[in-house]
Amino acid sequence: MSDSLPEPGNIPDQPVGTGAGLVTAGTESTPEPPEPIRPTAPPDPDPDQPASGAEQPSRPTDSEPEPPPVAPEPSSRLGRPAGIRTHQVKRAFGRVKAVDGVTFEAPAGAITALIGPNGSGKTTLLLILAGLLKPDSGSVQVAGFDPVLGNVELRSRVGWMPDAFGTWDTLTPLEILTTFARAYGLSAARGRQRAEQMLDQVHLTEFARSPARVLSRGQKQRLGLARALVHDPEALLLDEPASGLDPRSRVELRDTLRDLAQAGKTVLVSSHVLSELEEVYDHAVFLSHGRTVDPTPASERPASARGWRLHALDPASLRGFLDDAGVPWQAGSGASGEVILDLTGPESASQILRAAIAAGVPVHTIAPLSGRLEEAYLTLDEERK
Amino acid sequence: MRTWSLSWNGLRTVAGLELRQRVRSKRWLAALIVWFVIIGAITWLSLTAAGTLTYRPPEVSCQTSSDGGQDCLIPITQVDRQPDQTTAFSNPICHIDPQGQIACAIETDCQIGSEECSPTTLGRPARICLAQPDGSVVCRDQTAESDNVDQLDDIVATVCQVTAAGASCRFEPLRGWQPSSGPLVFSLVALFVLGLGLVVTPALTSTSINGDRQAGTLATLQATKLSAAEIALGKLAAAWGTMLAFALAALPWLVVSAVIGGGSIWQSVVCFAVLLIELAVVCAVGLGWSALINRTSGSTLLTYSSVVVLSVLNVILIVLLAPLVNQPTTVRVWGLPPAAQREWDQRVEQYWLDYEKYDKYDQDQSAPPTFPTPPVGQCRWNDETMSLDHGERIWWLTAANPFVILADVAPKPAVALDHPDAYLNRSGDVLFLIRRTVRQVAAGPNLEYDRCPYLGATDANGTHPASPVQLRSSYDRPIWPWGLAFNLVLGVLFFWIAVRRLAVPYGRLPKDTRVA
Repeated sequence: MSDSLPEPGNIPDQPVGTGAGLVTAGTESTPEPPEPIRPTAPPDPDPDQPASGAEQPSRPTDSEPEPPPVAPEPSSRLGRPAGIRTHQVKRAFGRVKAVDGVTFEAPAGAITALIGPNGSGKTTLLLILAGLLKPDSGSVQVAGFDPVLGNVELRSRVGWMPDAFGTWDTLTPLEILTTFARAYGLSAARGRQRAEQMLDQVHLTEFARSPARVLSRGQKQRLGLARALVHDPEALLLDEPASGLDPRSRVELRDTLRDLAQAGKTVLVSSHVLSELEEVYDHAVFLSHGRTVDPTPASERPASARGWRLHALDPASLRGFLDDAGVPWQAGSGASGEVILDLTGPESASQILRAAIAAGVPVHTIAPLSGRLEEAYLTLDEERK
Repeated sequence: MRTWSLSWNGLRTVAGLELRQRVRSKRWLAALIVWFVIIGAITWLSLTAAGTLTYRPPEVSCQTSSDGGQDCLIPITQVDRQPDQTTAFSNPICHIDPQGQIACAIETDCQIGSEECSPTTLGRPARICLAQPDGSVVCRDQTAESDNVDQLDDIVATVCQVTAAGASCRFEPLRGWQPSSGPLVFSLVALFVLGLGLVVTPALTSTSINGDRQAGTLATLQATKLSAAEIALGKLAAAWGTMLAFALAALPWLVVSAVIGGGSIWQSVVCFAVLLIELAVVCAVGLGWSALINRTSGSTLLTYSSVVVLSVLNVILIVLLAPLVNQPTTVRVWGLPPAAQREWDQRVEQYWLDYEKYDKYDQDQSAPPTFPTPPVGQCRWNDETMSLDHGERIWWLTAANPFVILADVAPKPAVALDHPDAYLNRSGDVLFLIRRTVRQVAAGPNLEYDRCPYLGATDANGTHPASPVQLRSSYDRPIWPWGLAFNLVLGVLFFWIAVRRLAVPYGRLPKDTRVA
């Protein structure tokens, strides 16, 4: 079960790094024969689905060379397997099973997205991969090293950017970066060179000698990225890297990640800003309840079926209408009372909209879901309930 | 284990990072300068004030007499122990007539053997003044080193010279020691530096680890190649280095006051080293607490509490425990047998009755009563049970006190070791007072006592039959090695805790701790 995501053809092909934040799947609507309202039932998560099935295939894109599917070149060059591999990793805090069986592979030279709702174990998993947390069981290899047996080797090859981190407010960005370069064992000259290079890359050169406290949140976030990259790590672990970034910085972040992947690095990004992951990742790993899961097997639904968001001034009457019409729906992610329907295409949407208005339901919005990640994400959300 | 690996580069990186955060502004230098000036001011003020606190030569007051000459009163208490004289004197008055002739009259006031003239009741030291053939009066200070009245010992001679021009007294250095305010000043400066160090140091390290964890900077550092030991030792070194700067600013004043006080530079350097070790221990304790406790306020409180337990609470505890170690103890007493003692008591009582009847201004009366000769020959050993404080059982409570440790290694002139009580009386050396007190407590009570009545039993040379009693008067057993060792173990323990708590990857996470 490796092709559990919607088919690539369903995704707008968009040049990476140039897109606006919003991607709407409906825009590329392929002509479909009109058909009656044929809502598809939301698929049940398959309990027999092996967790390893979450491994996603590479996503072909037009705008750039296709990343190597598995075991990329860097591994053979260094004589040890590159990338990140985990098998049945578990970690509990007391009775809370934060990570409860995570199996995935993030190959080198590609960007892997780590997706899951709050509390699904993303941050804990990244802590394990960064060599800060011992897994209770299971096997982990990052850049060929075990986080327990080869902890220092692992740490020195991993760049980790936590979701919440601080900076030493009184130090300047240049000092912070050179300090980290030294902490990673770089020589003074090399450390300074790398620090300046990184500052230039994240466009903080003009702040190089001001105290870090004058930096805005987004600038600090960029400094955090520079910090994670200063020792030229083989694997990069980014926890919500885009939070606080302005659109331009997000685009640049995507470019940076793409460049790193092309240079053979392993990039693992967790984020819930789905629109931006949508445009950059090669693989996706879904986490729910601390487990890798295979969300919404697309093969079990009509190829053309996808989620549509429907919203009315009076959500209750909308739901009542849908129930009366026998259309299965699920609540949307927002608190506003919107509902999500699985519809086969714009024609179905048009039909249901007409029927709803005829029934006096004050519908004001109908739109396809922004992307396959959001869909998958919502499936996880459903499972969470 | 990689947790404990240390590299110079790693240490320098962490220590440099910590120091950079602290030493960001010029305020830092200003604080150091202010501190230097404050210590200097304290030294100067102590030197000035010490004049009134420590021993000074007596002032002689002279008045114009009726014949145009001067009457000078030397306002001191004296006991004359000339072999052929049995009387003691007070306040000799010297008359200087207009021709410059000097005549000193020493008023007979009390007699040897009577309570008011005993050096022990007059208070130590006593001065003994002798009229010189040239008409001047020379007074010497003497002191009793123990309860034995007879073990008077010159410590410092006060020479009061009465000449035609008037009278004045000065000190004569004895055994190389000139009474000065140096020891007092050294004590005050050293205690001040240590006390301030104990107050300031917890602020430097007690939030060092949990504070960084809260600020979100610790985990990113742990994720680097740095080992836990490098992070912990780097933080320790930075905090200690900060205190070192302040201690170094105080060092010149310590050396100055040590030299003024007759102590050696070497000793003051040793004392300084102990001070630095104590500050390092407090740094380590703060670091350990900051690793153990998640809340910065909690670790700060516990670090300050640790300092209070170490430096104040154990003193309170030892005072409170003192009644518990006061126990009946069998001691050997050198004295008269009960029957002879009763007889001797009666004879002394009779003497005082006679003495009261005797009117010294009635010339017609017969000779004054003579003090009976005590039967010292009959003195022998008796066993007796006394209630004694067994400080030797609880002294160790204070051994770890930083102030006690500092006091125990503080510099002191040689005379302090030979004549501790006399030295204490004259110098106001607080550190030596602490040292002597703790060592006395640690030595335990005397188990031999001398009750043989020697008063009046002196022969023509002023000596009396030797006493077999060995009274402890010097306390050579040092306290500081124990205290310093204990504190070092404590510091290493807390440092070990800090390293263990910093070691990644985390296995069991302490309750309510987040990695990042």
